[in-house]
Amino acid sequence: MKKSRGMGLYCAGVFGFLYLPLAVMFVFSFNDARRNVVWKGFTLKWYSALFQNTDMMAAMLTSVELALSAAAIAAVIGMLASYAMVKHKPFRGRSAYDALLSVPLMMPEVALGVGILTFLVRAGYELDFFALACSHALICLPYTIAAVRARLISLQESSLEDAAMDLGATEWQAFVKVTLPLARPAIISGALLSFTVSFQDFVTSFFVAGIGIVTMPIKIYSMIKFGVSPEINALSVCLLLATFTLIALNAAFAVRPDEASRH
Amino acid sequence: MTEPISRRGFLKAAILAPLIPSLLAACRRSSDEKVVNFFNWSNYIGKDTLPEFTKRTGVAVRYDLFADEDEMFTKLRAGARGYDLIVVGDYHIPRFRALNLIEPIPAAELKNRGNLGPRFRSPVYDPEETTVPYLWGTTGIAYNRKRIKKAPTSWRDLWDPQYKDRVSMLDNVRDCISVAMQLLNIPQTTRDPEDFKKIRELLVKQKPLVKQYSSASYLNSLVAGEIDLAMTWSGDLFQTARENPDLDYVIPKEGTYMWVDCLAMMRGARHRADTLRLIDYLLEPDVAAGIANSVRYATPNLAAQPKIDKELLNDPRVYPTPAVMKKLQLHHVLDSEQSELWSKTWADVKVA
Repeated sequence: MKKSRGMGLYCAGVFGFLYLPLAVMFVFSFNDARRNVVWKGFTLKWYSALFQNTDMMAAMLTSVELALSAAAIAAVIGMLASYAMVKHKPFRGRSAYDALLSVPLMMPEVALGVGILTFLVRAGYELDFFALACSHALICLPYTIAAVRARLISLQESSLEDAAMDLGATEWQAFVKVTLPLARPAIISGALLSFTVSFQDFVTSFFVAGIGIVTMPIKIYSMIKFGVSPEINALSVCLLLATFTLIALNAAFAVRPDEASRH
Repeated sequence: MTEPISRRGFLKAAILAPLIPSLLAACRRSSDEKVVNFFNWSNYIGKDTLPEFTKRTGVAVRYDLFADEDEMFTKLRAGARGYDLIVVGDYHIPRFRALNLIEPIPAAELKNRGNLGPRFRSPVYDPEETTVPYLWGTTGIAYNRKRIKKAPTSWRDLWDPQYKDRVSMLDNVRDCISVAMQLLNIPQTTRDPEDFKKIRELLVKQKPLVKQYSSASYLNSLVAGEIDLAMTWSGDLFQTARENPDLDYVIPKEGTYMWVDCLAMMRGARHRADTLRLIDYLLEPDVAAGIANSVRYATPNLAAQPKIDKELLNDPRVYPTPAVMKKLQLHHVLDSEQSELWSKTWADVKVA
């Protein structure tokens, strides 16, 4: 009993350490003062200022569009890439292929950002929204693949696709009518993860963003020179709520270990 | 079960999905090309400055943002193109020029260049006047009037043991080493290792007193009263002082360094004529005053001074008295060998 209480305290401590700053931010987004250190009374003015700030809203819209695009690209490519790896017999270079897919996770983002920028410039490609969305998709790819691949492996084990083919489906029909619908929750959950990864990315965005593309993180960081205003707190709270919603959705779509066999 | 999807349909979708963003991009691209692409810090301009320009000339301004001059430099150096006008700090200009990233702004094509004060003509960082000074400020000492009884007067006060753990220094090699040089009477042109040894010793001696080396977060600590004495940039402190009226700013009696943010035109700017028009517009007395009044940094525009808010203009912390002005220096332009010595000394101090 005593032991478990110690464990409980420890856990409370860890969660406190992780979430207290967020709680403070939440509280101070209602603070009637510009700097975040002294409590001067309750106000909603930062929220109204935020929603009236057209620059901020434009940056928010750009970020949402970008994250949606990146998630869509990463979902398609991630699905196909995982399918290739799970479905096919080990092919030559598969482990290298595998390793390459997780490079964006391990590589310092500065190197990735500057690398993509240099590549696009040398290739003579204009830095537009599409280029940025593709760069983001690259960062998102490992997350999509991780989500989808686990699902495909468990489907593979349940041999449903094989069963469908035994019953007369072509390989293509089996893929579209059996595998794809069953993998959909994993694809959606991977896409949701991608959305958050893309949404909060600063480094790659900064380097690859072309003229006129200002994402939310770029906007926030560039405000540093002039003191971060409490609008930022209000904004962060909104983002936090959005993130929690996405995580909840993700949990709802996430694949439970036993689920594959139930179908 | 879902509708059967044909192989072709699936492939179509798979190919089209990644194209969504380019469609979005096409929608957001404005059709007219009368535009100037301006790369700057967020909010480093008056609220109405750019809309007014667009109203007057029909030229739109796309205001893109950066958060760090080194990142901005890296991005441009890696080849990002399309910006017409950027804001660069004085001592960064030589390296932009060395890499041919910026193009001289022809003085002859600016009607209003003459509005600049004599102090900002042919500055050391740009003797040929290829850039246009935008706003300037100083490096000095911030302190909390309530908690520090005797107002600091000298850089030496940052070395005073009675303020142990209540001091912060800018986490910036140029500023810290410059101040040490000033205290030791060492010229910025030095390459003598002995000089750098002395500088290092002076800064290391101060280390036990310093609560933090920071260029941004110390401002919050000042407001909260966690620190009471800080090396700071003028404009940053004035903005912070709105939160805590006890905060004040002094320029040390030894004098200090001033910095000048400048407008520079990118090489190969696509909208050259309109960029020049914008620069000229920013040099107009009314416009320059509007920017200075809103950002609360000092303007190098002499003709704009009558239109500056009186309280701002009469504030010697923003516009120092002529006697103090004499003691302000610009940062010296360092060559690569000197830069190396400076960075190394600063790194040694940080790890000591």
